[in-house]
Amino acid sequence: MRWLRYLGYALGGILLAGCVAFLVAAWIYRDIPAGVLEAKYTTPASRFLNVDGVRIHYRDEGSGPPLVLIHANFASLLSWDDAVESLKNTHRVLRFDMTGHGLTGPDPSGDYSLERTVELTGRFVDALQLEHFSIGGTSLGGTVAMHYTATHPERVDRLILLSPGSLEGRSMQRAGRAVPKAADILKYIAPRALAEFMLTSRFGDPSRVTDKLIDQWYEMWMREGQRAAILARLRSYSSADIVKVTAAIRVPTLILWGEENPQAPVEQAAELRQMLGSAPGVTIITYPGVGHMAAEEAGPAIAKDIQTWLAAPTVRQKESVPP
Amino acid sequence: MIAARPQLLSLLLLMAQAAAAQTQPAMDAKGWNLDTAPQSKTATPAEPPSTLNMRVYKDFDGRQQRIGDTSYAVDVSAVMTRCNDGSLIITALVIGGQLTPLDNHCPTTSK
Repeated sequence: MRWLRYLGYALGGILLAGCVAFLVAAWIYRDIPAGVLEAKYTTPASRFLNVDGVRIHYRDEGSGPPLVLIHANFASLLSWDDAVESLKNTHRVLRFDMTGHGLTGPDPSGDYSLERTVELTGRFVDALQLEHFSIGGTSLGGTVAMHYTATHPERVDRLILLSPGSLEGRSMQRAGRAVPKAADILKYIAPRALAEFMLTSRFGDPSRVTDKLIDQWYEMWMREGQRAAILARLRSYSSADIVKVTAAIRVPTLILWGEENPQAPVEQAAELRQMLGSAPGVTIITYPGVGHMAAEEAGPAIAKDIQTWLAAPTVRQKESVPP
Repeated sequence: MIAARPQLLSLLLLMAQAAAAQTQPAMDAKGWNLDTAPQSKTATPAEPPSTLNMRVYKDFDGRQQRIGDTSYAVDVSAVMTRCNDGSLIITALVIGGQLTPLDNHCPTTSK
């Protein structure tokens, strides 16, 4: 029976070592206080606005017709930095951090559904008293922009979709994917390498991913409460009836897409264009060598095309007539 | 969704290449009115990037009431590519939701 005792000691030792290792890792990967991140990432253009119990962080830059920009999942308003650099010369650009992202942090309601996100977006633009504006979003932000536009046609002048996530979401729903319970460990242990992996896998040219960008993503993830919020959003994600939503869009729409986009292949642009059958004009521009995170990877080129398109008069779809 | 007929597809490809080549629209042999194609002009940086965006009616037999009836319509849009050298070219058509590549490519110096 002595060997049983030794086996017990061994298993106990392994368990103890595992617990110590977990605690050490959890301490290493501990949350970063919100105040620390706000001190680092706010600029003179940064504002905070309380909307339905959520302290939304946004930036308000430039002057001209208002343009609201919404970032992707896992990202923050910083995604638009390169694009805003020129967009602010012609537009008043308003970009905000969605709940569970950037400096906005978790939603006290714990609701990260698409419906709640669209509702908060609406309350945000209401609070800013934006009567008419153009709205754009990338990935999840594109989905939010589509939903808002479909339900508020009287407010939105034009819609800009940069590799929107709805079709990707639809594919995910078709495949029945779910976030495994084991992913909860990310609440305690989240290595920087994960942010690096996500970025490099979402860039057409991974060499364009900078350490600064990886640090931005990672540090925002490590904001207190953020990781639980990210997981909650992933688990509650549903793109809803995107066919119905897109059919309700009746504003000129610009579709921008990176051609090297494994997360949302460029062919989806064609599918999306077909779904936007009620839009009075759809323009599609693709970017060779650019991946899913196109705002980060090709910001200046995208900004140029957005500016040109916004400056152009509305081009309504032409119809064939009998000869 | 209505599938474009092969003849229609050929026609649309022809139209897109005509637009890409910045030629004037013309009447085709099958009687489709290519005046619905965009009026090609000399491209300038400020020109709106909406070179081709139209709705074509399938099996159009002259009955005006079909105009506006989406069950007879095929939407056609150009897919433009912003090349690394800054040029903007038409590289594909979306015809009824199907991506149809054209034989237009960015300059070889572009990635």
